[in-house]
Amino acid sequence: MQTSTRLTMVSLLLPLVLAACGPSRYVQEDEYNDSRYARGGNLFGDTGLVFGVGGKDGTGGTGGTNDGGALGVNAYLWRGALDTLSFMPLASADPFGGVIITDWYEPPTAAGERFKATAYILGRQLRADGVRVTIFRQILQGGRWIDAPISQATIGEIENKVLSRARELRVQTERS
Amino acid sequence: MRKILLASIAVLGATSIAQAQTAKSTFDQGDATKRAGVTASPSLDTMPTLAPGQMAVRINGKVAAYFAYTNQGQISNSTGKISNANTYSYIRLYPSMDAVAANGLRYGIAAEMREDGNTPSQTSPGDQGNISSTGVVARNNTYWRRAYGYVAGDAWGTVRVGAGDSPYSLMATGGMYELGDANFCGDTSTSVSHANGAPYPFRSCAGNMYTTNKIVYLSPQFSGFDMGVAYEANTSTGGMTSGCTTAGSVAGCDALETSSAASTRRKNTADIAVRYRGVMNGASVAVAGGYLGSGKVNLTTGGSAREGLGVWWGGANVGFAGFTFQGAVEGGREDRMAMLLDGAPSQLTWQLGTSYTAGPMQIGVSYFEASRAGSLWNGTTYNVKRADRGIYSAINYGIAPGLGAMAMLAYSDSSSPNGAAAGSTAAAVDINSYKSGNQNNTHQTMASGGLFFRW
Repeated sequence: MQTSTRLTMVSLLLPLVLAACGPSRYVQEDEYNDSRYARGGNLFGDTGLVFGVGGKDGTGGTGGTNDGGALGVNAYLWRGALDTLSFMPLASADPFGGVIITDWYEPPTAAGERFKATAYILGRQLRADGVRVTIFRQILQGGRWIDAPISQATIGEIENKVLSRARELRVQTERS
Repeated sequence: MRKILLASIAVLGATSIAQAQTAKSTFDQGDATKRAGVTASPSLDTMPTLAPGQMAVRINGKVAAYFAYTNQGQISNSTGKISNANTYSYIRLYPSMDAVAANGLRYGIAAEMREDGNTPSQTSPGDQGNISSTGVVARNNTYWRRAYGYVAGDAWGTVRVGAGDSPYSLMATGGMYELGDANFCGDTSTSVSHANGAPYPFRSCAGNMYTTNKIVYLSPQFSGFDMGVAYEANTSTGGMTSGCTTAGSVAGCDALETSSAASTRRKNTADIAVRYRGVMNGASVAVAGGYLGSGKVNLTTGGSAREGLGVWWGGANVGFAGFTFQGAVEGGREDRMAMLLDGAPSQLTWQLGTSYTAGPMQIGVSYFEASRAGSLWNGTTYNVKRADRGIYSAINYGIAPGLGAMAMLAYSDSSSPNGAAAGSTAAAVDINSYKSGNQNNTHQTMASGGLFFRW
């Protein structure tokens, strides 16, 4: 019982200690070990068979939250990513795995600098964390391309463009 | 659209004061590290995004079917023999509800329904899933394995009430349960029949803790850290009564009683865990650790005195470029989460493993060792510990969404020194009752292939 009491007291204090570490983020139910969320996907989409919430608002009706048609990932995010990155030459695109890889692109306004992008569509839901973009940057030094850093803000901007485009496409679909 | 593209170019050009972009791991925060110890997969983004006022009712489920080949340490005696080949299948249902109130409060329920396929004695037709001595039996009973509700707020975290996991299992890290049919905690291990087959020492994947009523608090995440704490009054799985109607006179009371069986029951169990998840230099990192302690149900007379639980544990999972490197350790006053007899030696167990994921395929291997009291230590006749160890390898392949295949191969053994009788040098330990004479070791080789269907 003494052990339990000590544990309880420590438990009451720990959230305060953690809270002092900075801003918080809600931990979703599926971020814990849970039999419902095994790897490998579900027959009815990422959320399983869902009842009670209809429409195409990302919560799905019966059959899950696909919005993906025949694609393996969310169609709006997929098309949004393609549109956003289409100014760069496309190296490969896998609509089932949700991966877009561009070739190196040298902006005409920035000679001696080139970029390459990879976009991952992470699921069949249209949600803010459903896309992840990686940008690679190289600069020309002494006739050789050298890797150079790129800011997280830049990556965030590109991801926001993808999400904005996906939202536009979604709105267009709703109106059509 | 052109404006967007031009804007994109402008953004790309403005990178002179950027932070270094290291090679990205295929595991990333919010993905592989979303759940500690679980392999990355887009399918982990499974929670429906609900607006205030919305509710989603879901029915997830799983059907698993295996063919297994199990060599159980030269089992043979004069009365029976066990075949090496076996088949196995089951269904599980996961009904749940998630909702967000108009004021932003999150709430919901989750449950798990299973069928009873592992009860070892098969004597009554219709109530068991295993082979029956009385002939072919019907599909077995179903029961609720978990059932809890939760309320949550973005700022203050989640409170769960009911029969469900505690932080000990919710935040367990490094167990490699995503491998094969869930490492040694998987279904194939149940094909080992005799009681002293090398059992997996880590219990975070088993039902010792999550089938009982408890209250659990899970904090929000701060700078990568989150924590959880749980309290379980007794080992009730649903009822409100304290286990007996007349204190001290009948078995089952939850504080003091006469039955010797009660000496194995815990009470006032408290559990705390802290977890970190983040990305460091392109590698995903998940680390967790915790402590679980309990009291015990006391006895008026008879029975063997036992100690409350005092278990510490930790685990880590590092992922980079498709590889994961995982480890876990657990020990203290326990014997696979059962209470020790007074004075029995503590348990110490560890596990290391690695896996590689490429597209829909994952391959991996893990190894564990355990030193613990086991049933051989009874404080009077035998005073020996037993040692368990095992190596597990498997390959998983995602055929289609909701359809996966698995093949695994594992070896495990247990041993305990002879001459175990207290104060004696006689060979008294028998760890393999299937073989004649006293055996101080046993070993198993398991291989299986199977399909998983999930919805």
